[in-house]
Amino acid sequence: MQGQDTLGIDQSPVSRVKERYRLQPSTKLSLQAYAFLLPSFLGLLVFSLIPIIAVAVISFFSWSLIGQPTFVGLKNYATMFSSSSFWHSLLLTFYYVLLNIPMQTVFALLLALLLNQKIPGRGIFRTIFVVPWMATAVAMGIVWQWIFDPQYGTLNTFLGVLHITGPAWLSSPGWALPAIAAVNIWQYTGYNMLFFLAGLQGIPPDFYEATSLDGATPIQQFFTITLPLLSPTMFFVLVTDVIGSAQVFDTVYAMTKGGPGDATSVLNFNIFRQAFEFFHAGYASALSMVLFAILLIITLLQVLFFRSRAIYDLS
Amino acid sequence: MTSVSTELVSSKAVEAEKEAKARFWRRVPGYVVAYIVLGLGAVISLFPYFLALVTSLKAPDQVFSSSSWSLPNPLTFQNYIDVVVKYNFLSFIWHSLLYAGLLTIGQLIFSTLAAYAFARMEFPGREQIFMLYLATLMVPAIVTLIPLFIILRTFGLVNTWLGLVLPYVLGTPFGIFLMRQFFLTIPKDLENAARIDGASTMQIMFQVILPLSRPIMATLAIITFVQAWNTFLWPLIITDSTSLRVLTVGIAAFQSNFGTQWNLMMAATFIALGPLLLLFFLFQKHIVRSIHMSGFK
Amino acid sequence: MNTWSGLLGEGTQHRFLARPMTWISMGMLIVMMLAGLAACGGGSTSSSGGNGPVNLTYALWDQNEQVGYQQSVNQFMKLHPNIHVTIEQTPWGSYWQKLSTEFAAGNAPDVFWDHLAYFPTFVQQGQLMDLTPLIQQDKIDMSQYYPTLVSEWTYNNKVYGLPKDWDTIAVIYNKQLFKQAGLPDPTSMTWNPTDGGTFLQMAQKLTIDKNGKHPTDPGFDAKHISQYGYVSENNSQEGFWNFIAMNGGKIIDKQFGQNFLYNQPQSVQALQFLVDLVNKYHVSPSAAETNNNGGIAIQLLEGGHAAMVTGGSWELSSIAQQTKIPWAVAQLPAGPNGVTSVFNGLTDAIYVKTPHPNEAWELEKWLASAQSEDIMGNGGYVWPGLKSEDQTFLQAWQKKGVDVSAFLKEAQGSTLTFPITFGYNEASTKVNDIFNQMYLGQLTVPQATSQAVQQANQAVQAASTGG
Repeated sequence: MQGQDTLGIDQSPVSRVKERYRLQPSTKLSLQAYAFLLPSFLGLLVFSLIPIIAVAVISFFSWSLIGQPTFVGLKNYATMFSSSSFWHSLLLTFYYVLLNIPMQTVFALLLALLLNQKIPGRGIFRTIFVVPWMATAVAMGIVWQWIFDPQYGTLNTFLGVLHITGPAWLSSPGWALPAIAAVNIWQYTGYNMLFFLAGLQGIPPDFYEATSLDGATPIQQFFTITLPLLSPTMFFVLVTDVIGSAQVFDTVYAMTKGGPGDATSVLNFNIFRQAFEFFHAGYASALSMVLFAILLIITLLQVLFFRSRAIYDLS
Repeated sequence: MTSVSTELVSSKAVEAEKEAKARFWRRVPGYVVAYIVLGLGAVISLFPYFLALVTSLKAPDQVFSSSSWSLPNPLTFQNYIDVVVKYNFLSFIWHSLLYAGLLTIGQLIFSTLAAYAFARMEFPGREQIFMLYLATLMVPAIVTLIPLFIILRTFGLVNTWLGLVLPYVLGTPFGIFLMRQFFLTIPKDLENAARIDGASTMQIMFQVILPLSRPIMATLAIITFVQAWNTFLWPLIITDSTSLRVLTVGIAAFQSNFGTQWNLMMAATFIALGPLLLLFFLFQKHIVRSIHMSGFK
Repeated sequence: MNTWSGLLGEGTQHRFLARPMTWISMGMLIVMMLAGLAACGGGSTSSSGGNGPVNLTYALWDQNEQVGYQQSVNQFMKLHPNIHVTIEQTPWGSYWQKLSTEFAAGNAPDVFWDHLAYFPTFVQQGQLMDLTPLIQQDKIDMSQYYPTLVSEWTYNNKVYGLPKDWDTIAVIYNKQLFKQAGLPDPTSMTWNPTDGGTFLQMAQKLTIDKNGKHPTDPGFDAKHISQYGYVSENNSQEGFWNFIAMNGGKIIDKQFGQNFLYNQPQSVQALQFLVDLVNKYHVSPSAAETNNNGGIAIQLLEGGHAAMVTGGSWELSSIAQQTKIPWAVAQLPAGPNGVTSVFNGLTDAIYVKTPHPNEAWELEKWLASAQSEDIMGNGGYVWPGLKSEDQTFLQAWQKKGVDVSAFLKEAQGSTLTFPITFGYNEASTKVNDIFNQMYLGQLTVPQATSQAVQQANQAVQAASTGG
């Protein structure tokens, strides 16, 4: 037949053109994916990426926010790296994350395991543990100040009943940062519990039944089934919590304002202070860029760690 | 014949009953420990709220003449009345509701789409673009809000609803990350089977993925709503008038350099908390379908 | 389709979420709502229409004073029908953050509350309108304001705000505790760095431990004090600045100067006295209690745990609201140089880039006028900046049964100008941190003051060069 080759495939010019320009299935899927990404990417570009690039640019300027910026090149970075208060701030931030995240994650996981079972009152308990996360930082900061008050606060009064003289907590250079970490753990354990609860839903109960029959103990089941299958959730929790906790600000601002001395002067608090109290927005931007770089490295390390360990597909 | 089998049955029943009782008593220590832990945790979780509640029910002169945990004497609801009537908090509640609601809907729609693309669709640059999304979480919002404000000002959106909502309504990297992790755990077989049956991507989304995603979407909805409800910095910077003021800014207004009105602030905090508690208690069933794990202590 | 419904089993019960129509309609809903929001806009912003009314934005931070200012502004709008003023209140803790962000975007309010701690930076960066030519043009008589206030808001012979209120520091005390101790009202106390004068004696008699003993009694338990005679805390404006001045010292060499003078002998003596009140004489709560705890002094007074505090006249409204104790006001105890109080006041600043300079000036004049200042004085909020209107505040408090004339006598007597200079915020943060340690007894007063001066001067010098 005219236009058809020996196999009967249409070889006319029009159809050959159509053939060449028909989208490959993979291209079609890619375009579909880009379409799915489009709205969030537009938002990201305009409202996140561009401001971040602006901050990066500002870090090379000296700017009071109130007046005009002046270009200073790498001066902000030079000042930063030679400033002992910067290194102190950085160290404090690391210390804070270490105080905060491991305990929070363990508590959240334990609570999720406990409250995933059919014990009476689980709904009420789940709500109770999530409640700390729900109040405004301002009000809770004040209430915790009352609790930690050295002379009239609940904590020291309670310790006094046990004949223990409590430290000055928020006024004590050694206890202030742990106190803030404690408040943060109080606030976010229930929140993290939610993620673990959701993650536990994805583990089919048959796995436990099957291994029970084989004689596996609950502890063994936890380490061989639960934990590995929770790894996607764990990855999420650790990445977002480290990023969030390295940027702690509200609690510090509400409770100690960086004090006593510089005992709670974490990096993000310094960024705020430099930008809005001392009017050094350029320096604050440089500090932000350094924080960004550190968090990027830490997150990449976490990605690598979980890449070989995270189990996604049960099949 | 019947009497023998009845005997067998009844003795089996007695055995089963004994077995069940033994199992129950074996579990009791575990239950006791569990409830002690839970009880302790509950006290710690709620105690600060107890202080706030007690303060909110005290007259202003009682706030410091008694200790922070002492009960109000007399108990008064005047603070709550003042907050609602004198300080306009009903309109702030409405604004917060609208703001949080819009952000939640937007998050559910746009983050789900993006998350599915990252989790299950193959396209060039997938991992790199995902890292880009994640990376934006790593720059403190305190500084990025300055250029963000300038951008919105250029569009003439300062002190407008659109300006308040737009930066976050198209989905956030946080939400996308959360959903992506969940989508990755959905067995590929289900989707493959659907594809073999000739289903399009959208059909797979709606008929396979979404029905399975109820727990994670409920979680995302709650988290987005509460986070939006408690956001302070952005609404503070972008809005000026009381016709757009949200709860968090309203609560902060009780704190002045001329003296803080603690009793009013605590009453306002509880008013702000109420809707969240209700929302959570209604939704938390969707997050978990409790599975009794037999043999787990 | 049936194959995988079978695989899912229970999963397909969730029809609502599964239906595409649900998602499409939700998406359409959100697009419609966004469009609706865009259309209805929000609050008002300054318009530049030729015929319509001019819109001015007036920013302030105190919610309670806002009530008075709204009344004032309403009257202003009646007198100027072509000007519409919108008050924008931002909580104090975030006021400066929001203001500087608005400066950065070129979008600051037309008229806004200004504070001496931030005034130098604003004026250095040229964001405040110079009011001097307008004052001359409208022939405003500046002598009707307290001269100190005017000079505080002057830089390089240019005036940047018309004084609208003032405040001083006085002793606020609990009358009942004085009666219980059998003491007369503290109307003319004295103090000196050597033996503390009658001020210390009174404080000692008013300090009681849980066993009812005074610090001068044997067996006094300094760890369990139930009532304090006076709250000596790390507070500059309401605390040590006044005592330094009363001992003949100065805080800074001159306005917009670069040398702090905390390490001069008179300043060191005064600070030593105040620190001794805490750690040596035990009439004040420990610094662990008072450091970084804004408002604690007033709280202790209100709770009946402290007999005397030194507080600013701005504290009166909240004290009246928040306590039932019988309280009164007395002048500061007289030091070797007599009675001296810090004298401070707020002004309204006009944004240099306001699109409506003439209308903004009208508002500025109004807010500093007798009619407006009377509204604020009558409400008992603040002392009016005009000397002639002081009576309004005095009478407003007389009606409430409190004699506040002590503040006025101090304003008319020897006063200390609020020290201002470039980089003030950075300098005062460093001083505050070091003095926290001083009040805790972790640094001696000579150590603390020399460190404080060194670091504060550094910060000021860096800022003065525009850093």
